[in-house]
Amino acid sequence: MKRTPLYEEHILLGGKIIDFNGWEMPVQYESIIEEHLSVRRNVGMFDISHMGEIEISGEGAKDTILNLTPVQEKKLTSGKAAYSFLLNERGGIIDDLIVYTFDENRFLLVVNAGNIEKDLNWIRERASPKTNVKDLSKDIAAISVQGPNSGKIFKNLFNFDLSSLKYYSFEREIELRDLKIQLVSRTGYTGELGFEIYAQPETIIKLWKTLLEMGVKACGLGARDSLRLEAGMPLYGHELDEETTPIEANLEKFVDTERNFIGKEALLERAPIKRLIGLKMVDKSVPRQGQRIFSNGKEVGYVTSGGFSPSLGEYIAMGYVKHEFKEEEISIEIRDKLRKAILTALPFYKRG
Amino acid sequence: MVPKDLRYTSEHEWIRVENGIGTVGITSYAQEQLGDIVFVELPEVGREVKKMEGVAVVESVKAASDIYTPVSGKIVEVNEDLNSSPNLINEDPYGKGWLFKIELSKPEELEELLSAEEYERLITEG
Repeated sequence: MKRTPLYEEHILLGGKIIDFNGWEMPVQYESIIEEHLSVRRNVGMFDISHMGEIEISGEGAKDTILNLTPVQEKKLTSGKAAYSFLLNERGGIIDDLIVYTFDENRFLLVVNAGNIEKDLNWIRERASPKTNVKDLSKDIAAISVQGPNSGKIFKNLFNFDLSSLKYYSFEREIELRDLKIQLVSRTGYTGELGFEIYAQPETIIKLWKTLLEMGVKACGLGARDSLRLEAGMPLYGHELDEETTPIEANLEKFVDTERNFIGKEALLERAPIKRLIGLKMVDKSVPRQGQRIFSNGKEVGYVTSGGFSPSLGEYIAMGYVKHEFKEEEISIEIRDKLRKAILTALPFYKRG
Repeated sequence: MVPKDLRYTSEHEWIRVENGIGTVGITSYAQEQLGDIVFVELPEVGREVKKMEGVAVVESVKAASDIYTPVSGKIVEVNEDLNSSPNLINEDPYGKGWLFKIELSKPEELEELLSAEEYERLITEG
């Protein structure tokens, strides 16, 4: 089992540790619901050091990115971050990731912890011959600070306004007193205002302690999951996998079909067989991944993520239904009983 | 920590018996392990159940857990307050967070349950 540099800090705070894709991570400290609400109402932070960081650099780096992901070329601008995917030849999602563009010849991919090895192999086999592919995952730790009051925290730390950093933009190589920040971006996975800081492990430990002193609440993976579910954001292994295309996952706006990339032909030829939906329970019960969705006695889909929404006080889920399915009233099979639910537009929660 | 006047199962239920009626809930240890409770499915009143039959479900943020009845008998009352406030289980597991009341059909089954000392040993030694 792997540990992040913040493991000792999680133990000190009473974090309940679980196995997350081979990582010993805190699922919660005291209460998932309280942690969730602190991000919606104030500010919270997450250890995201388990995420993978892969540097693509040198000659052909940009062509490598353009070949491996469906990202729009204009988004590969210095100082910009872009949400994208690695796609297989069938258009299925190998991983979802963020591409940070440093310059024409240097990019950083932030990938899911459970997919680092798979991604590295895929990229190395297909990178341009003179392009370097380097796994920096062990050298980089990271914290995500999220919530309506994250701007105040940001201002205190960096002495400039978070609002001057546009959504999905970043700054590099910032000195904070004695701390060297490698990268800070206005990104997140909660649907709130927020930022993510990447630095060396020792720096991240100091920063975590500083943020705690500033009143930022430590939040675990449980809250991270319920927050991203409310925000309608997909999670690899739930909404996304190698059998699912970005079009089926309602992510076509992140696919540039004007140019070539691995998986494009299949994406254009293959008729989508399912579509991602949001649902709310009408009969009270908790929908969970894997439960079947029915309509008029017929199975029409399955739940990919579900749970209690602390912000709405309702039971919500995301899932897939057959692409042609157009009804709104459905049932979820929970413990051998069909329970009524209704399709709902995503996201469930939008910040005010 | 573990109330002395109750009997326990190894599945972390407790029972308090007064005048042939048992009140059942989950232990403080169990609610701590589960974390925030967000939904409870209670049995139907009038249902006849057998010892260690799954009769209720407690759902935390992360998972669903079956609740077993410590004794056989008939369900005579359920805690309706849990429908709107399932977190009562977290706040007061031995009091307001009770799950159901059962009329014991085999009171001798109580003797097979764990005492407070035995339950305490179970959760401290794992």
